[in-house]
Amino acid sequence: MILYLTNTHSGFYMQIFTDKSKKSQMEIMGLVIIIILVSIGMLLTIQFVVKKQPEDIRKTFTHEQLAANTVYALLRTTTDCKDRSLASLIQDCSSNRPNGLINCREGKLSCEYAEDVISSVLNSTLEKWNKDYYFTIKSGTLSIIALGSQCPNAKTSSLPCCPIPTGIIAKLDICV
Amino acid sequence: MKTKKSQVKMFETIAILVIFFFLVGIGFIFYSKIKQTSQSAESEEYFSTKAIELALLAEFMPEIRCSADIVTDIQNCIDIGKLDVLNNTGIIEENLNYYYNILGYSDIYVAEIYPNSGIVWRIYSNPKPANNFLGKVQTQIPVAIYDSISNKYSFGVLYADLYR
Repeated sequence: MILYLTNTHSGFYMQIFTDKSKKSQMEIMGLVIIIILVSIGMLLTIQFVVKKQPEDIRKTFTHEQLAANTVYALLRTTTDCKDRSLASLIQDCSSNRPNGLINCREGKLSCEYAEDVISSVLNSTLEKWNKDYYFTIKSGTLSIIALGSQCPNAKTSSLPCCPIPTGIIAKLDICV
Repeated sequence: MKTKKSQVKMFETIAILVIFFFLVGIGFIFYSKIKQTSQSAESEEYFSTKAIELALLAEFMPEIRCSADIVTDIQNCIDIGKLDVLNNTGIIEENLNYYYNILGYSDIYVAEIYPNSGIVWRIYSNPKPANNFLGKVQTQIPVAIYDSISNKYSFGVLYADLYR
């Protein structure tokens, strides 16, 4: 606080100057620092929120191609049941429910034999690789074969596939 | 008392500057840690992309794929005759430099699962030396192995192991 005494014609004149300029400078500097810190914080937050974590590309690709290729290769596989393909066994199973008509090895009919082959292949592949799955073959709404357990959360599914005609759909869901 | 007042003011200014630079330093350390994490994530993403590339290259190698003249539907079909030739004659080992440019440090092999499990055909084997080994990533691709002589399909898996 600065005190000025001025002698004018009308008398003494007192003026008081407070040290506001330095105080305001300090206040402004403080504000600037706060603004800078808040801006940096917001920039970092935006960087985290807007920039998504890169998806596991390999995992997505692996699951998609695994589901599709497994179904495709399975249905084309030639079984030991009179050298018939799995697709034709499934077709016989669907047309002649509940067990099928084709008499395979060990006294099993086509439905049971097809299920055994599919189960054996999936145990040697997906289960061995610790991948949970749900494999279904349906004719309309009727389930012909169902192996594994339904995925509780997200899953990757194969597209409805391949060489089985007459409305039979084979689908493999691999749980994420 | 002015000198003491100005000293106090100077001390205040210095203290503010010290705190300011301290906060800037913390912010810089924090940012560099985040950048480091982001760089290692990018490196992992790049490696994942390379693993997918290798798997696709292996799946579509004309050296093992079924010929279109024999099999009309050649999607993920592998010819057993070609596998036998590659496994038994070592043609790929003789041309390792050529295949290294395409496949790099990797192992590619096919294993039959049904009906005869345990049969393995080695197509390409070029692992990293032991002193430079940093791990590997395996991609599995189910395939139908076609035997043109008996006209039968087996279920197999094509493995593509990429070394880091």
